[in-house]
Amino acid sequence: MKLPIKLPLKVIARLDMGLGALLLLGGIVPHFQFLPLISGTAMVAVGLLGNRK
Amino acid sequence: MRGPRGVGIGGAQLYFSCRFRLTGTSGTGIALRGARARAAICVLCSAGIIASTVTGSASLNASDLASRTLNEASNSTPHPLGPTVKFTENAFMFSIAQITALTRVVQASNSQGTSIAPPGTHFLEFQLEVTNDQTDRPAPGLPSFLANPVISYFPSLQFGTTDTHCLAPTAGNDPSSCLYLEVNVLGGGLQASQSVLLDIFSSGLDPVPDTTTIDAMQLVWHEGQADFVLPLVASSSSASPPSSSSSSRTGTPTPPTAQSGQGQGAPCDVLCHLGNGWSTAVNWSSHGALAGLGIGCGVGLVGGLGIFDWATCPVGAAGGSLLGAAGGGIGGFIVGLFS
Repeated sequence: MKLPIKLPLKVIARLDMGLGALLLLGGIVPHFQFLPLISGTAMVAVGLLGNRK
Repeated sequence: MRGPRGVGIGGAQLYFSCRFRLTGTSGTGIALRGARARAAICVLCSAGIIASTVTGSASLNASDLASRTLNEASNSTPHPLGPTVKFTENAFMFSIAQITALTRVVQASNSQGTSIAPPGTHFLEFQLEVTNDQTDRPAPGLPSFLANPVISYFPSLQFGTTDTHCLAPTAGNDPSSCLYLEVNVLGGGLQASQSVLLDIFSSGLDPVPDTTTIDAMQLVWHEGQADFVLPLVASSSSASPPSSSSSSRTGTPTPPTAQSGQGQGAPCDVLCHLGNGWSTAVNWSSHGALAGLGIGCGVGLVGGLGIFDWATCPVGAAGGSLLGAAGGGIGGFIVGLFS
């Protein structure tokens, strides 16, 4: 089964990295929180992986 | 998305990602090549699933405890600060994060076990006055802490810990009898917001539990030259007679007042609402990102198996986390803005 749309992987990956970076920032400001740091790091990492393709 | 819902989804994804992605091949050519890259994706997905499950469970546990505490109290009364401070018959709870948002004074910034407010920055003090609820005068035999009832706790508080302090002996010089204030810092670890539960109880010989009222209790905190005072328990004139072994009673709360400085007790202004929105958005967004990461990865894995031909784990994970984070962030911001 193929979807009729072609997903722009690099766009998704870059958006993912950007939002991940924002989440990382949110994990520090206004105070340190562990969960946004985890999810932000994961998003940036996944975005980096996708952006390499 | 909270943990329990994610357990089932996460378990299946974990199985598929580790079972098939490491052995399967990419049908589309856009998946990362090499066992090392696929293993990294598997670890990322697994970490997201585990983290969202753990944090979701912790959040649920904390909220359950809060709800139970409040529901058990027959005379629980909301504080003028709204949901930030709740009264129960013998305990009250407040959210450090909310107070932080309202006052921008108290720092609740550490989830790794260090002090909430390091010495020399900001701290909280509790002032207590214990009186006899029959005569509204200091109970006989209670010691001199009534004259200067300021006790500092916060520099020593850590998340997830319980700190019990003997306020005063209740039976002469018997060291085993005490009127205790227990400060229980709920949560910790991965939780985004923390709460403090204060409880008053006594031990040892007993006239005090049936004759004592916590007449005045207030949060006092400092920033620079300014002292802020938030009354938590008002005058005991309206306190109900004792009906249990608990030694504390709450009266009608009075609006908070500021001895000096500005902001305490004032309605939440625009910046305050924006701060609440930002904090809630980050919190919700992080949950959404982790959940979306796992779900998207799972969708991508199905693609890797050949059922779908449009996505693989990297695409699905990136898209899923993006959608989850964006959706959670927007929703959290809207909710936080009006909180």
